[in-house]
Amino acid sequence: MAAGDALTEVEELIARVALRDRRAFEALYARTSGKLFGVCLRVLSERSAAEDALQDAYIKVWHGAGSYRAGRYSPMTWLIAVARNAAIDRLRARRAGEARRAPLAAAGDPADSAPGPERRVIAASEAERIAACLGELDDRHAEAVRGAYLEGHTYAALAERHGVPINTMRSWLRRSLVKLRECMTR
Amino acid sequence: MSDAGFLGGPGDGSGRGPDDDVAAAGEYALSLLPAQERAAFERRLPGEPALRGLVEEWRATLAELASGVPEVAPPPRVLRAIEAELFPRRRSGPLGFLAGLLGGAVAALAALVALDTVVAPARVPVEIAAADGSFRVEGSLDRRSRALALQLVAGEPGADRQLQMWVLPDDGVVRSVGLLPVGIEAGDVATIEVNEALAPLLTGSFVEITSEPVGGSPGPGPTGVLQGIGTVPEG
Repeated sequence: MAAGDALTEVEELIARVALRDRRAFEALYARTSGKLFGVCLRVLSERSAAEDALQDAYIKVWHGAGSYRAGRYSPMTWLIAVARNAAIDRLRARRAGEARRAPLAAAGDPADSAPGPERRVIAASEAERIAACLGELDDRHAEAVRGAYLEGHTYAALAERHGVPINTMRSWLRRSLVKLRECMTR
Repeated sequence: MSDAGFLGGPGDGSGRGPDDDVAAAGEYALSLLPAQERAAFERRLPGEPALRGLVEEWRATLAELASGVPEVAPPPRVLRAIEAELFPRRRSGPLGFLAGLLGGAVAALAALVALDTVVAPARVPVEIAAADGSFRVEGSLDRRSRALALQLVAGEPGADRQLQMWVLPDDGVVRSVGLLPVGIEAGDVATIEVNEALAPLLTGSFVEITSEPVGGSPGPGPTGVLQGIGTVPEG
């Protein structure tokens, strides 16, 4: 199977899930849950909370598959966004640990790792591109973007971490987002 | 400081430029928008394809931040919990459930391995209805996973309205349990994931469903037409 086919397969599975195909749902889960659980663990760092978030995510996938439109972006980005948002919702609901950093190492024992990376070759270059564009930002600003995405920091938490007023934090971040997009689209 | 309203808004009154939308869509994708701005942003989305495009673009870009996150196989109980929640009627006891889940020859073996971890969920039935039968929602609350699986048996939200469920616990403060999907029709099944703090308040309480503007009541309590009422048993 060529590298690109894996994505098409996920797209097709999502389309079938939208038609309430339970077997497709199971196949989609088998195919993607390792990545999504990794994301939930990265955000929540606590295993049982990550399991709950993963459950939330796939329930949203079941109900929201119809709203995913194939074509423009990789279906994995949609799934990752759903999982990340489910994890952030859990994190915010918990309201604890805003200040506590979630160490990368908390993402599960290596023994649990799913077999085989299956990312597209092209995905690596997209990842490199955003890494490069984040590199063009002030380090603290890039760190804020990462902290908001992967650790669910709010503006209040970011402002505290960086020792600046919330309004300042927000101006920084909004300017960084505009710069980031300029870089990504050039 | 609360998440909402610590700023007048983006752009500081200088008008909305393209960069404002780029930034706002990014903030939205990062879950950073204060509640009120988020609600205002979401109201713009249905009518502004360009804005939806920006959000999609940000989601795709930001998802790359997760590219270095290692894959971790979730334990089998997660899929079991998901399927128990999504397909409650297909369950015919643990063996039948697992057989349906896994299919084929592996089912028997897997069932043996997994049997001791399959427990009957602490489900309590939920019924919310109008006395005249014009509206009826049935379902159950899984107290462990806090998933509220509901089926709209009769009734409809009405044009440009969305059904919202409320709970009135003993303390007398009405709280939103969640929204049913826009465009839900009789026969449709929906799941509400009940907030962790709210879940314990649900059992033994009065619940009701009202018809609210799309996106939910603009206030902390219901503003729309009461569709049905019920109680959640102690279980």
